Amino acid sequence: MREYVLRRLLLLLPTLIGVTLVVFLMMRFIPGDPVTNMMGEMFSQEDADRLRKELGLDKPLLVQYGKWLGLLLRGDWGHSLFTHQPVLTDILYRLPVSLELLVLSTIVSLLIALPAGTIAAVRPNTWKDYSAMVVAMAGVSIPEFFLGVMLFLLFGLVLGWLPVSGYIPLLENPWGNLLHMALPVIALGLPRAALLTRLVRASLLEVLKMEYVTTARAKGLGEKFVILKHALKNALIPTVTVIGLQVGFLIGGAIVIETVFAVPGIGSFGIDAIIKRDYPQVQAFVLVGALVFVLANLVVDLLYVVIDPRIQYNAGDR
Amino acid sequence: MRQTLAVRTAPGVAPAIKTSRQSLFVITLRQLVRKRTALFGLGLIILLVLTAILADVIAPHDPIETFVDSLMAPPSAQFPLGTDMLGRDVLSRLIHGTRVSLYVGVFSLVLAIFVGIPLGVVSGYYGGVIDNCIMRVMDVILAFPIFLLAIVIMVILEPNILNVVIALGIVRIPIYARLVRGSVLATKELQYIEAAQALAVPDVRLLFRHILPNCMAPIIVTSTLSVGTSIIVEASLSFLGLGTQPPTPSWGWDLKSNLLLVEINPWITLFPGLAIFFTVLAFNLFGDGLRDVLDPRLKD
Amino acid sequence: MQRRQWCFGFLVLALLLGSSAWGADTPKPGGTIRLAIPGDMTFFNGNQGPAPGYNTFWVWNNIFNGLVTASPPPEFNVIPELAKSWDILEDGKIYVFHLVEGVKFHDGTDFDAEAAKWNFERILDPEVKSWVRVYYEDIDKVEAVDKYTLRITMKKPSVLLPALAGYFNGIPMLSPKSIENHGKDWVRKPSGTGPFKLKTLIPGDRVVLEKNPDYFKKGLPLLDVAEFRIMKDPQTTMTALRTGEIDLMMRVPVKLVPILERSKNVRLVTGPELAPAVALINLRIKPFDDVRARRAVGGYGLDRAEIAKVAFQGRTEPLVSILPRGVPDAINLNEMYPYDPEKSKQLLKEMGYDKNNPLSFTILLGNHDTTLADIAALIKNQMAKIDVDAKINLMDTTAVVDRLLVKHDFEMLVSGFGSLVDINMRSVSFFYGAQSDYMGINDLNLQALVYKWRESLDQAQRRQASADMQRLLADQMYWVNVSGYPFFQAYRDYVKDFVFYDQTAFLLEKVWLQK
Repeated sequence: MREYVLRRLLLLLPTLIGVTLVVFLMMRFIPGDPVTNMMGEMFSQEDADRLRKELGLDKPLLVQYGKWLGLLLRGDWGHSLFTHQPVLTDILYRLPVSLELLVLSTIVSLLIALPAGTIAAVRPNTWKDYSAMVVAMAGVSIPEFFLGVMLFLLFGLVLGWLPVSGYIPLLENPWGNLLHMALPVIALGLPRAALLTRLVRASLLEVLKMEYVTTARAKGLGEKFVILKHALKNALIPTVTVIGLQVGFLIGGAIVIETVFAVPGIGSFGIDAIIKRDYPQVQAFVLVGALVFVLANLVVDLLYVVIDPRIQYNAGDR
Repeated sequence: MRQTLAVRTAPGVAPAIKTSRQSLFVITLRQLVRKRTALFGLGLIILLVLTAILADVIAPHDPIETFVDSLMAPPSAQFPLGTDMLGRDVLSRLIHGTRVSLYVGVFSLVLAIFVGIPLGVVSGYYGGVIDNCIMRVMDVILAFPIFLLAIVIMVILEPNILNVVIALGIVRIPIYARLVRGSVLATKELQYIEAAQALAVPDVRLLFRHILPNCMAPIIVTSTLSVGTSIIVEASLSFLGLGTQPPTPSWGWDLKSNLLLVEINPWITLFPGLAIFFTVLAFNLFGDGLRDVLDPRLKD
Repeated sequence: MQRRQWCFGFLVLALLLGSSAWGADTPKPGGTIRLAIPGDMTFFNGNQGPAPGYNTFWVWNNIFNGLVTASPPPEFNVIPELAKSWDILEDGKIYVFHLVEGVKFHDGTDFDAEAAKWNFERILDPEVKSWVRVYYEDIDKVEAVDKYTLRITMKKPSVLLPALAGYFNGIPMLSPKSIENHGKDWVRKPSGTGPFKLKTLIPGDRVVLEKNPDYFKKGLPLLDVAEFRIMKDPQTTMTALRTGEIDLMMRVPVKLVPILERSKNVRLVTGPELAPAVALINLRIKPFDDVRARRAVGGYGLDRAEIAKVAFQGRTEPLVSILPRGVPDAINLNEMYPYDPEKSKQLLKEMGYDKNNPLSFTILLGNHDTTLADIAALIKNQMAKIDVDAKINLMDTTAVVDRLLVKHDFEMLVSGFGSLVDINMRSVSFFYGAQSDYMGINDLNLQALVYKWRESLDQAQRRQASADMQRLLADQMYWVNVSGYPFFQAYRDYVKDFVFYDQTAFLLEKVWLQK
């Protein structure tokens, strides 16, 4: 197992290098660079060139990339071209916010999806099943920023139950933190819940169909329970897979929610960096995003073993 | 050798032995007709496609024409759903918006399929170094936050719908590549394939005639479900100011620009939102129905 | 006896009531004000470096002072700040400033003529790359005559005070020691003389300022803490204002104004505009080098009234002159170009363009403001009416800046622009070959008028030069304005004594909370 994990981590490297290199090159081809943004209206070509030289932006591209990589390997993620603040500081502040958003919304989704999907699968084609499916179907079809804005208008403005914006660090004030995160978490969590409900139901149905036939001579009610437990375990596999794949999407996709609810997460950090062309920040953002995604999938793969010990790891396996 | 690949394909759909394709199609159709929700979805899709094609004919007004004297007008005979802040007819914009959404949803899919499937087939069939390389590239694409890609593409090339399509298409390629690869790997081992190889059937023929059709089902299902997601992503991109160009009527853009005034006039925001909702719903219902039909078929 | 007591009691009661009513308007010191600011912080550099952008400028407006400052609009008179008085000698060749004594910077060091001199020289130093250096190029030398007297000699007699008072806080006074002490980090650890000091700066989240107890204006500021929260989504910000989560919204988009107008407990402020909505035409691109094409497209062919009514909900007016109507020396030139599509078509026909051979160009704009998109959409329609084919090209803001400021590669640009206090602030764009010459204007008459303005110490003469420039610009359609771009701010009704400066300044020193 340890070997497997190590191998997977090693395979990470080419991916990460690939991603960061591609982004690096792409950013250089976009019109405008950080100096353009800094100079503002009273722009002068000589000043701009001087600034570029100072920032090291006039060297050949591969040299710049190499320099960045070199610093990174020594643990230096670089400094923002605008604020001169170490990029790592910003990331360490913003990433936990997004992670919290991610984790909480996933928990919310699972809390809804597991019971709902199970009920729907156990009693297929009844009104319980249909209603769950209808709601799930609806949930997947709504753009989440629309849902987000509707939610905060309802709960924030009309009812006034929840604060609409801002962020209080978890360690500072846990209750306040949760209160402020409530709306964004729900806005992100509900559509995911819908997706996962369908998934849980579908997988469960499959398994139940199989098991039910073979254990038709079950001893009694107790067996149903066992089937359910066993079935659920199997159904978890695709569920967990999808959650893993979604992580990558969520990091970027939560941008909209972060913007609407003024949550200082990593998604909005990334977009701002791109718009401002703050190259070190963009590189860091992409790196972090890629890392989180790949690690999440690694965790998912490891979870498979926990869920179903029949699955093993093989050489040559992806 | 235990296969652990099954877990990577779309949940609930397994690769299977290919039966005669013709009868599969007919049986699918027959079963589909019995499922009312799927039929409803299909019907809605057809309605939307017709609306998109006949938009110029059905819409009462030009969607980008400004009626300066009727800003934010309530519904009337002249403007069945009222006008927006720039005095444009809401109904006409809704009708024309179908074009953008369907265009984005469908063509990003087409791009993903036409690039992703060949890659997946090649990767799965030949294995080894080729497989590794292609899968690495797929990983790189998957690790991209979609919005980063969208901004970059929008900014490098001339920004328009086409590039949103390209951006969304590229992001989906890995999904199809992986899907197909999984199927290919599974069926590759099957005996009749080995038999065909022993008989020296050329590779290409093997790929297209025998292996590929097995993957059809998961591809079809994933595709119909993807259209919905693409439409939502396009709306989100417009919300961030990265999607379609004004004044092209787009549900996403209209949703965003009218959202600020939702308290004064909720309807002009609600209609594009509902349009997106129903379109996505239609594709999801149809896709679900397809899956339910194709799935048990293949399970035997 | 009883009556007297009664009267006395009545008197006391009246006094008490009177004083409590009075007390309601007596400034109450203390408290925290929470402000919503719609963008990230950049550099707290007091103009000694790249442009900070309005958001950061509004924050450091409260950390730094200049020698002089401007009175609120519409007058923008020069009033003393760190210089208690000044003398203008030799018709504007020499300026002598007498500084306020005993003022200290936030880091404890003294503010004196040496410090002031250092700040001036930093702005003039090409190595510092100050983005406002271009306004002070007529300064020859700066001397500290004694501890509290600063003497500035110009290269030739010219105007200096309007720039120091009104252009982005002029030359703010920073502590020379702060750069020594903080090295490269000085842009995040500013040290000025202002009513507030920088306490915390969390990028992407908030900036917190705290009261400077040794502020040289006694009794000010009244607030203890000013917390600027970075909130980019206007809808969220507006909701937070209405629920009382924040006290002041620093920039209210035009579209949200109707909602805030109807909200209880919220006050909306605005004034005659100082900033325009532009549809700039690039003279470098044919056929726009021909004044007829410019007049056809940007003059008679634009239905400015429609844009003012539709895109801005009627909250502004058509604008032909380069100076928006709130600027002190603006003159109304709207009759020069009434909306006349027939005349446009005629001019285009003279040049060989008509329905079968339409003039075609692309409108460039940034994606950060839906109002601009609306304007572009309206212009496209209006162009269609004069048989001109206009395409719209939406790009992200930096890309637009690159095309406009760096490459000068555009045909028409729709955008907002900064607020002006006079025409000289914009004059950097009138010199051919200057980087700010976005449109490629090359007119020696215009340049001559600019010099005339800069050399006229008499305000009436400056007004005349300004009027002449406005007429010339409009006649040649060098700078195409569409309408004013109104600026709104909103705050809760318990925020008192807030003075509206449009975008040119944001000052909290006199503000207090009645809570």
